Amino acid sequence: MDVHQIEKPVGEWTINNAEQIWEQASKGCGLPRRVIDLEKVSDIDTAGIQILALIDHQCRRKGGRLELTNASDSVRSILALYGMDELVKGPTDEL
Amino acid sequence: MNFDEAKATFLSESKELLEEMETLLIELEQSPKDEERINALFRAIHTIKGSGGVFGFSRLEGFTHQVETLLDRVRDGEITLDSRTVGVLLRSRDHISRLVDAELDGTELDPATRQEDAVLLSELGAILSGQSAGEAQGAFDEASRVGWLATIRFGRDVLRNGLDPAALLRYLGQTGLLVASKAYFSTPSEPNEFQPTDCHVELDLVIDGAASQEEIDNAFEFFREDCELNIAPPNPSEETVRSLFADRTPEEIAERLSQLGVDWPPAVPGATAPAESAPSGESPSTNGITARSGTNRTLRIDAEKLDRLINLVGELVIAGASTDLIAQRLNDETLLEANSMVNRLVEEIRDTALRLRMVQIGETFSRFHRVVRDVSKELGKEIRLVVAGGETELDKTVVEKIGDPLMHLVRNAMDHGIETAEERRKSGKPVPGTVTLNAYHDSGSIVIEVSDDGRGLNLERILEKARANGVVAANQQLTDQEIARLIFEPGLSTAQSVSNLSGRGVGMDVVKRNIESLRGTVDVETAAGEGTKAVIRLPLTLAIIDGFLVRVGQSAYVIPLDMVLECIEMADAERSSGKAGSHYINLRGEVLPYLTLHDLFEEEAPPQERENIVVVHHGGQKAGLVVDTLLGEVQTVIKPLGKVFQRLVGISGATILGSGDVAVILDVPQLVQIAADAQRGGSPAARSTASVIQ
Repeated sequence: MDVHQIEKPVGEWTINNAEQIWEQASKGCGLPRRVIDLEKVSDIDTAGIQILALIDHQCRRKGGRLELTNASDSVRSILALYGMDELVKGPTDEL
Repeated sequence: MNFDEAKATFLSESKELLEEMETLLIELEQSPKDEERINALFRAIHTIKGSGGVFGFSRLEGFTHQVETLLDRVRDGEITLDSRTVGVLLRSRDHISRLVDAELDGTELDPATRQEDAVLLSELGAILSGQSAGEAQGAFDEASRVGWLATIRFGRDVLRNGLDPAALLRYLGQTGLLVASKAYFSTPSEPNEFQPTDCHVELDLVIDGAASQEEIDNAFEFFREDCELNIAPPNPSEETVRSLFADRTPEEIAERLSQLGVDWPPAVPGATAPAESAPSGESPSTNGITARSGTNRTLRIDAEKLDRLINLVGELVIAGASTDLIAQRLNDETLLEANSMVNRLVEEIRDTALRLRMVQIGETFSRFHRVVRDVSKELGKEIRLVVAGGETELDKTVVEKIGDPLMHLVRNAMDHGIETAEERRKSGKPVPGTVTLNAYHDSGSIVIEVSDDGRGLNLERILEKARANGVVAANQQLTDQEIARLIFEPGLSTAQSVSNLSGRGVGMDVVKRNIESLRGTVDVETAAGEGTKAVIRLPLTLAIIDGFLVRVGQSAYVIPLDMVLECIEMADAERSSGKAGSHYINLRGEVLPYLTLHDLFEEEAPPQERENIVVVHHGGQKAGLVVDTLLGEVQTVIKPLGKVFQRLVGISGATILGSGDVAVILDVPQLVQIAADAQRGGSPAARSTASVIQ
């Protein structure tokens, strides 16, 4: 298993800052497996979800996947709306 | 034009168009390829849709759009107007009428209407997709019934505009409408092409089938603009489902539906009808917004204004009669001539004004095609309607008020008159029963007949019931005709089962009363096993009549001129007395019963030496009215009698003569009946209600 950095963004992931978020997040798009710790992400809307979906798509294309951790309840709920809550691993799960 | 006026115009125009649509649909059912009618039908719905759009009536617009789409395809010859399609279109027409009312009242649709909206849209969609009747119910069987299916491709700018598809999903989830959803992100494959603020979301949704059209509308309200939204009503047909995913392969469709938990293709095979593309949008070429055919140059007139005009004409007639008297008294040649010219013109104005109020009864008759069609389906009997004399004209008010009594008579004929197919076959009759509406003029009246070729009235049962109710004394002997007429007595329904159409025992007497309130009469003829005929007689005009003025004692009476046959002098010797109390004379070999108005109206002055008889007729019977002096023809305006006087026998109205005196207008039908009864041996005293002779 590759050793990789766990990404830990801070702030919201919404339409308001989607461009900046994408600028940061797109840098990791070469890696097949990415882990994003959402503890410090306060709020996600569809713009943020789209970015996560794209990241996930990129990972899968390379045979890997995206994993999300420490999602707050509100973040979990929007992930669930989009059927993406499978990406979320609980705090006790192995990375 | 202020807004309320505009709305009122919209209402009356729409109702007219809807009536026209009904007629056209019934006619098209018989001749489904009639291009002219199809075009007229399309124009009608197009106009309603357009006008509704101007007012922002979105519910109306939305629904009529589907109907218009279907009619467009009918116009192109792609869809034929079979019985099923006509049935759906007729129901749609009814629904549109309800939508128009709701939009104008600004009220919410009640649950039944919303349900009907969804059902009709589904059926219209089924026809548009070429489904045959059996599959109209949808591609899914009971077990796997699918609710509303929706696909949305959100517009690129949605997020930048401050909307969020997540809100839709949340709303659907919270309201319990959401059954299943699957989101797709159509993000570009190259990361550097990705525009993070664009919305790349596509949603496939299954929504609870119990949701109403309105709830669906509300849910998607904010996303209708800028997004590609496709919604299929509950339990869609196979074709409809395919049209939701128009640009996808069957495999893709299957995959997407399975993601929603929907089995595809459905377990029960769908239609084998050819694939149709999604319903077309606006029809590009129509004849413009004003749909009226150019051949009819009509004017929309306020009924009140017309009534005022006719009132004025009435006053003019009276004033004319007054100047007439003066001119005659002065006996000035030039004045008499000039006055006669004026009176001639007044007569013409009178006739023209009254004719403005005349409408052809054909309009009323043609509404019955729909009634007969629907009711015959309801009763499971095959019944056809034959209409004759539609060009017969009568006063507008009469036409409006005669509708209800006619409706009752037609329903009676269909319900009780026409036998079941079995019975008809057994008696050697053609299986389809016939109900006939016929109208014609006869001696100053208009006659309307409602007849059927059914089983005829059961005279025995009628007599039984009448005896049981005490309407007829146990030992009283009645002729067949008199028994038949008993059906007009209150409380005398003899129908075996009280169907919900008629036969509650309050029908025929109400019919009679309604007709009598129009100064008309109704009678019935029947023959066992052959059928029944109801005959309605109505006066031609309500307002002004030509009359024959007579004097009896101190009073003046007016006899409607169109019922006068002749006048003869009566010498004492010519009178004969038949059975006690009856009076008749020998009129050139004919027995003519007569009434002495002097006695009937209890005039105080002693009778004259020389009397005159005015021979009148009505409904095929004649009678003589003995009067003192003949005064000649007059034109009079009928003033209705106040309520206090309405039960008076032999009198139907009053009028003001040129001299200013009041004269009473005689009710000739009543008087003829009284004379006939008296002569036959019944009581000569007048009854307070009249029944009419055949």
